[in-house]
Amino acid sequence: MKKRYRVALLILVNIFSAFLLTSCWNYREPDNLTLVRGLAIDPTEEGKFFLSVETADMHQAGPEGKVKSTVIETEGETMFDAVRNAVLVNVPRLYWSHATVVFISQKLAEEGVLKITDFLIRDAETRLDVHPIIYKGEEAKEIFDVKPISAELVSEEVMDLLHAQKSTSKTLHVQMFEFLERLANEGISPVMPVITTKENKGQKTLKLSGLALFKKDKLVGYLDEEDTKFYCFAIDEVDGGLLVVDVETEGKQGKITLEILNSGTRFKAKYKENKVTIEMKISVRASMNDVQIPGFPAEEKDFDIIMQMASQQLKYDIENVIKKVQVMNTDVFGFGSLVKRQLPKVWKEIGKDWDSIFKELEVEVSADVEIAHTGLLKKSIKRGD
Amino acid sequence: MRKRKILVQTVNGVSKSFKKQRSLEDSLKQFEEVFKGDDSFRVRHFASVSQDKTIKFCLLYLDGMVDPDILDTSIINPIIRTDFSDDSIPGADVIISQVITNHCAKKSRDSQELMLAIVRGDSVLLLDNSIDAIIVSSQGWKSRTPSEPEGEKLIRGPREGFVEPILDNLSLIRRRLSTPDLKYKEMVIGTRTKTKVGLVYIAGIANEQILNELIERIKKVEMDGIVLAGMLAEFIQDAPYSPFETIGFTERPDVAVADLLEGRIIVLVDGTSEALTLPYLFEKFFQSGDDYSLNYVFSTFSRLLRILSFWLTILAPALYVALMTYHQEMIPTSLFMSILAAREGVPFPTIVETIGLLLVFEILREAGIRMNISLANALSILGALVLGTAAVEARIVSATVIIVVALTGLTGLMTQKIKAPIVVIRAFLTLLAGFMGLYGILYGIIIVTLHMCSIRSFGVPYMMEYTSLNPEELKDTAMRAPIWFLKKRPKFIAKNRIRQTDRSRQR
Repeated sequence: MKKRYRVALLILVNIFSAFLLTSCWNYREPDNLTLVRGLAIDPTEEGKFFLSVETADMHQAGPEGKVKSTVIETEGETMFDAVRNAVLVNVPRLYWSHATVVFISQKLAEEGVLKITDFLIRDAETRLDVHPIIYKGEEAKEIFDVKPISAELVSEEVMDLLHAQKSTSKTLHVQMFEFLERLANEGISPVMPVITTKENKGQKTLKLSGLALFKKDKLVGYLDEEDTKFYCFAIDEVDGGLLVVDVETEGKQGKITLEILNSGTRFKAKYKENKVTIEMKISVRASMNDVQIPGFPAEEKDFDIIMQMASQQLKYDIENVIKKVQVMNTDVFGFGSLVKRQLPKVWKEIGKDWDSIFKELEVEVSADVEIAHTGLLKKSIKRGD
Repeated sequence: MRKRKILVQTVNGVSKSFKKQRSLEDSLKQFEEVFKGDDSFRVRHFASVSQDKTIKFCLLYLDGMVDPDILDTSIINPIIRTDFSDDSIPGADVIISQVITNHCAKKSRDSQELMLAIVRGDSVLLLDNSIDAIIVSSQGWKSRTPSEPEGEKLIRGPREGFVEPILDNLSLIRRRLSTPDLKYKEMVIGTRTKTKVGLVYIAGIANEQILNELIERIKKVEMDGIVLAGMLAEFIQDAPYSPFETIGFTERPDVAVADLLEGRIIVLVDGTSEALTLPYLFEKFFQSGDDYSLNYVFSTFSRLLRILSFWLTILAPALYVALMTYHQEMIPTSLFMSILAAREGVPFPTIVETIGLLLVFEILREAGIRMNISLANALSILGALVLGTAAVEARIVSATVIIVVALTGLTGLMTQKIKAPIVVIRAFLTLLAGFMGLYGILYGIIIVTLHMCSIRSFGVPYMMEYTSLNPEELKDTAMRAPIWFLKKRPKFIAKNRIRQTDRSRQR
C-alpha cells in the first residue's frame, strides 16, 4: 500500500514539474489572433516607424472561407512599439508566425535595415523564412492599395510571384535568414528582390523588378531584371530562364531564344603576383525553343555557330554586370568569401582592404552554352515559294 | 494479498451424505425439503413388479432441464420391464450395469452431488433401502445452433461461432483439432452458480507454468456466481486496474484453435458464447482472422491501417487542440485560415468544443450499440442531422471539430477491440494537450508507453513482440509474413516453439 502511494506521488510530482517546465504554455484561442500575412514599413518624417500590416481577415469569411485583406496601420518609436500600438486599433493581437513578406520602403533601406530586422529576428513569433522585399516607389504602404490578380492578399500574390520566378531567373528568392547570413559574413553583401507597381489595363498591379544591392545594411543600388539574370549566373543560382541570342552569320540575322535546362558555375580564386583573380566557368544546357531566322539552322555546324555566339554573349553580359556592380562597390557576388574559403592565407592579408580590391578585381568569365535539343522541330519551317 | 470473505454455502439443512440405509420415503423427504418452493421439481414413483415382490423406485428431476425421452426409454421403461425376482434386493451397481440403458449413469451417496446433478438437468434415481442413489445423465434443453458471431465477422473463413453450452464449444474446438494432446480440464466456480469452467490447451505446446498459474488463480476465485466469461477474466487477469485487457476473447472456434496452436490456453465458461484466450499480448488487438486467409501483402497493409487508426483515434483530437491553441505556427497557413473561417462565431473555446463533441459522439455510440434496429434509424438521423448540419449552421461547433471527431470515431470503430484503453487515453491526451500543447501529448504518450511496457499477461511482457529486435518475432506483428515464414511460436507462451519444418514450402 505504501509503495502504491509513493508511486502515485511520484507521478504527481512528475506531472506538476511538467507544467512548470513547459516553455510554451500559453493557451491562445485562435479566434483571438489576427493573422499577419505581410508587412510594409515606412519611415515617418519624425523618424518613427509607420507599419502597414496586411492581415487575413476571416471575420466575414463565411462557410466558403473567403479571405479578405484588411490592412492595419500603426506607428511607433521602434518596430516593437509600433507593433504593440496596433492594439490601439485592433483588439486581437497580431500573430506573426504566418507572415510571409516584409516590404521595406526604399527610403528606409537607404538608411539601413538593421533597425527593422532586429525585431523580426528577436521576436519569438516571427520567422526567419519571411521574404524581405524592397519597395521601389514613394511609400511602401502603397503596395496594399494594389488589387492582386490571382490571390486575395497582396502578400500571397507576391509570394506566388517570387516562387514563379524560377522559370525566368529574373529575380532572386531571398529569405530573411539568407539575408542575415550574407549580412553577417565577410566578403559578401546582401541583396533583396525589388517590387514596384505598374499599370496593367488601367489598374495598378505588382511587378517584380530585379534586385536591390546592399552594402552592409544600406541600400546602394539596383540591378534591373536582365542584369539580375546574369547576376544569378555569376552566383550559380540559375534554375531556368531564357537566353535570347542575336545571331548574325552568312547574311542571316535574327534572334534565337534558348531555354535554360540547367546551368552550373564553377569558381576558382587565384593569387598571382600579389593580385587576386577570380575564374568563373559557366556551363549551360539549353534547348532551342524559338527561332526567328527562316531556314536556319540548316546544318550541323550551324548549331556550333549558335552555341558559340550564345556563349560569347553570355560571357559579355556577365562581365558587364560585374563591372556595373564594381562601380557600386559592393561585393554581392561573394568573391571575397570565395577568396576566404579557397585562399584563407591570402584573405588574412588582404581581407581588410577587400573594398578597394573588389573595385579593381579581375574576373575571368568563360561560358559554354550547349544546345541539348530543339523542341519539337528538327529544322526551321521553310517558306514555300 | 487481499483477504477475501469466504462465501462457501452449503445446501440448506442437508447433511453431508447418507449415513445408513433407509427407506425411499426418508430419502425423498430430504430432497423435497431442499426443493420446497420449486414447482418444477418432479418426483416420479414407479415400481418393478415381479411374482414375489414389488421394488419401488423414485425418479427425481427438474422439469424443463431434462429430455423426457431419455427418462422414458433408458430409465423407466427398462426398470419396469425387468424382472428382479431372482435377486433379493438389487443394488445400485446391478441396476447401472444391467438395467439402465443410458450412456452415463453413476452411483453416489453424496447428497451435495445428487442435488447438484438434479439442478444441472440430470435425474436422480432413488432406490428403496439403499445407501446409494443413481445419477443418470438426462440433460435436454434447447440451445441455439452455432452461427457466425456478429462481433467478429470475417470475409473469408468458417461461419461457425461459439454457443452457450460449454461442451458444444469444446466440440467445436475439438472437431478442428484431432489430437489426443488436446486437453480439457474442468473446474467449477461460483458457490451458487456452480459454473463449469474448462481450460483447453494442447499438452506439449502450452507452457505448463502458465497453466499452473492459471489454475491457481481460478481456484482462488470465490464468488457466489460467475455468469459471464468477462467476470472470470477480471478475476484472473494481470494489471486489473489498467484499462488494457490482458486476457483476450474470441467467439470464433477457428481463432481459438489458432491460439491453441500458438501455445495459448483457452478458457471456456459455461453459458457464455465466448472463449477467453491467454496470454494475450498487445499485438493481438491488431490481428484479425482474415489476415491469414487473405494475401499477405494486403494483410500487412490492413494491419498497418489498423495501427495507424489506433494512433489517429487516440491522437486526432489531442493534436487538433494542441495545434489550434498552442502551435498555430505549425499549421500550414491556408489550412489555418480555413479552420479559422470555420471557427468564426463559435462561442466555445477549442478545448471545450472538442471534448464536448467527443462526449456527444460517445453518447451516440453508446446509445446505438444496444439499440433496437428500428430505433437505430432514428438515432442516425438525429446524429447526422443535429450534429452534422444543425450544430455547424447554428455556429455551436465548427465544422473542423466535427471532421476531427468523425475521424476519431471512424478510426475508433476500426479498432473496436481496444475500445476501453482508447477512450481513456484519448481523453487523457486531449486534456494534456489543452494544458500543455504538444509537449503534453508527448508527455502523455510517454506515460502510456511506460505503462504498456510494464504490463504482463501471465508472465509474458505485454509489448513483447513490438519491442523485440529479433526478426523472427517481428514476422507476425505489424506485418504479416507469408505463412511459411512463421516457423516459430511466440517466445515464453509456447513450450515447444517449432511450428513447421523448412520443407513445408520447397520447390
